[in-house]
Amino acid sequence: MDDAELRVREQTERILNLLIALRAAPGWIDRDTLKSCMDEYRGLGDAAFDKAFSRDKALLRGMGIEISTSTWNDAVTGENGYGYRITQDDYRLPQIDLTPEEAAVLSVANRFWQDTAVAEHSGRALDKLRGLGIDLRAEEEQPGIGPRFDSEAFAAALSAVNARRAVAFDYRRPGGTPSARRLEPYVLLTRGDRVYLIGRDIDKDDIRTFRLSRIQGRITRVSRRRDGDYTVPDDFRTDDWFRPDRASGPERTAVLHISSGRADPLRRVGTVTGRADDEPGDDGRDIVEVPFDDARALASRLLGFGAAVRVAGPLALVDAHRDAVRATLDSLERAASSDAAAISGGAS
Amino acid sequence: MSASAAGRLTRLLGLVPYLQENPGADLDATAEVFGISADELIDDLQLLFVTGRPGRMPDDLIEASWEDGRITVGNADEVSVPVRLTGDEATSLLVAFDYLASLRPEHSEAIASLRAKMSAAAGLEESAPTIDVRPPELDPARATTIREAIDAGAPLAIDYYVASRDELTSRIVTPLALRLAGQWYMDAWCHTSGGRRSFALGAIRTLDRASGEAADVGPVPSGGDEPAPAEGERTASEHPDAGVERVTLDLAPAAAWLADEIDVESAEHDVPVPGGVRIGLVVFSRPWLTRLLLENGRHVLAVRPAALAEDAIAEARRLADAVGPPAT
Repeated sequence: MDDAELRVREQTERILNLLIALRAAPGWIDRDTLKSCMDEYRGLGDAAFDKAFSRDKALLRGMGIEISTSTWNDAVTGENGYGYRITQDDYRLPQIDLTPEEAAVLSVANRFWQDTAVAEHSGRALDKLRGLGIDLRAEEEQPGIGPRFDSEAFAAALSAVNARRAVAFDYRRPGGTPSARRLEPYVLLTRGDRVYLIGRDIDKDDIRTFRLSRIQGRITRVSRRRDGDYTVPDDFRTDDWFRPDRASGPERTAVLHISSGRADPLRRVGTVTGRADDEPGDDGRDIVEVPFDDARALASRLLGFGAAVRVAGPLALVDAHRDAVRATLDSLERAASSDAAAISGGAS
Repeated sequence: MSASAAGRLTRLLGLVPYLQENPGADLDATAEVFGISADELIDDLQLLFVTGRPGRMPDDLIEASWEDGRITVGNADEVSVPVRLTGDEATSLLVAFDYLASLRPEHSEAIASLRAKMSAAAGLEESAPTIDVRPPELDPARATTIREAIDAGAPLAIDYYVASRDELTSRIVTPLALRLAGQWYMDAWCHTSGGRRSFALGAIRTLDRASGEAADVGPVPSGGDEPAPAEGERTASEHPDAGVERVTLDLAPAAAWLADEIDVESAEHDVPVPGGVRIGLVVFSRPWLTRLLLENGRHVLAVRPAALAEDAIAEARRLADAVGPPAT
């Protein structure tokens, strides 16, 4: 064992002794008694004890074990007395009965997180559940899926929403420079393979949605804030606030002439209304009507299909498409020119 | 070894009640359940028997022995019941359940039941949920057809849209697996192209049982568990590294979102302009790059090597000729 492992072993032993002392006491155990019966605390002054004890208390709390503290005025000495205990409710896992199938599924679920930052949480959950006497095997079959998102950020965000912890991070919107944000997170969402954090933006005093992959660097706690010091409004509903896409405007109909067999995604959202034999030498195109609301956005998308798609109407889309074509040609010629690296800000 | 005291202590507090429920448990089997080596388990037991109630007289200490590979633990009343779950522990399992449910519909009842039991045990029912998971959707009818075909080794007829070539293709495939990797894929043997291929379910337009017997379409070679190349798709992780081209694109701020959406090898932000991004891409398919450049060309500041932009420029010229000069 190296030094770090030895330190972890000693610390584990110390906290286990503390835990047993607190659990063995029939009621409140007062500070002096606790100090005298623990080698580690004996001889510490009040301030040093408070520091060591609050560190150990925090470690246990992180594991789900809560130490209650009581203070009273000692009638004899006139000084304040301090007492500590761990109630059964603040320690014990309620009895859970699992079927063999459920136990197997639970073990597979644990492997979903393997080799990620979240595995610490799911792994500890399994260690606790094994305490029910169940064989939840560590080497279960692979589930065939794993998270496709940054698990470090996910783990930090998960802990923040669970603890109701105000957090700070640098956030980069596409095309913008990173800005420092402070958030009281309400809920962590996954939609498909994307992950979002929604909460109250402290500086903007408004509910905002943040995409986790756009957070740069670490998610840290906001200084001088305590876990659980804000509440999620009762009337907060995720679906009222989660809007990854802009609201759409009034819908119009694009009339497109599409070469046979091409641009299947446009055909899937549109309707084939006939055949267009508008040009000599062209072997015929389908007329496809496609709903749209933003002419510029659709024009960009149409460019990807190249000359296989022609725009017949409406006029706004014809113009937007023509402009986009010219701008694209100009921009690509510039981008491919030999001194392209020296050009900056050349986009229209 | 566990990295932290909290992690190791959590294991010990699971180990003690586990051993009380399973007196005389086999040392090696127990180590396997907990996912540790026998030596690590013995060190855990050694740690246990030097701890105990204040005073640390022999009567106060936890008893632990592992003679003949059989473990017994006693005098540990204070830590003989398992510890409750934290919110992070319970919710990490819930997220995994939600993903697993979409992959293993045959276990959906067990997963729903587990979900309820874990939520109740962690006291999560009383407060608003902190997580809201929706994995990529999988059409149930289609999933059933594919799973039945996997079990039967039966061929399917599919129409598959190859986005990089803007082409709808018809194929006969024998599906091998359904896989979730960002989106849903069907790994299959493609009889039409004579190789293993992955098909993004979102690009399968029609899917039916192929007429005729499995034998009619030829055998499916065995071996090779690695994911097949995604048909017509450009995914860096799923292609062999041989003979690939790389391209560097400088994007203006208006197209910087692309760095989030496509599989980039590298992304350097605020280069060459503030808010812009320089991305490095592996080009597995020229037509794919051409379509990318046409769709986003207005915001492309530089392409290196420039030759990789030739096809897109030629197509843009054809388009420009077709649409005519700007309206005045």
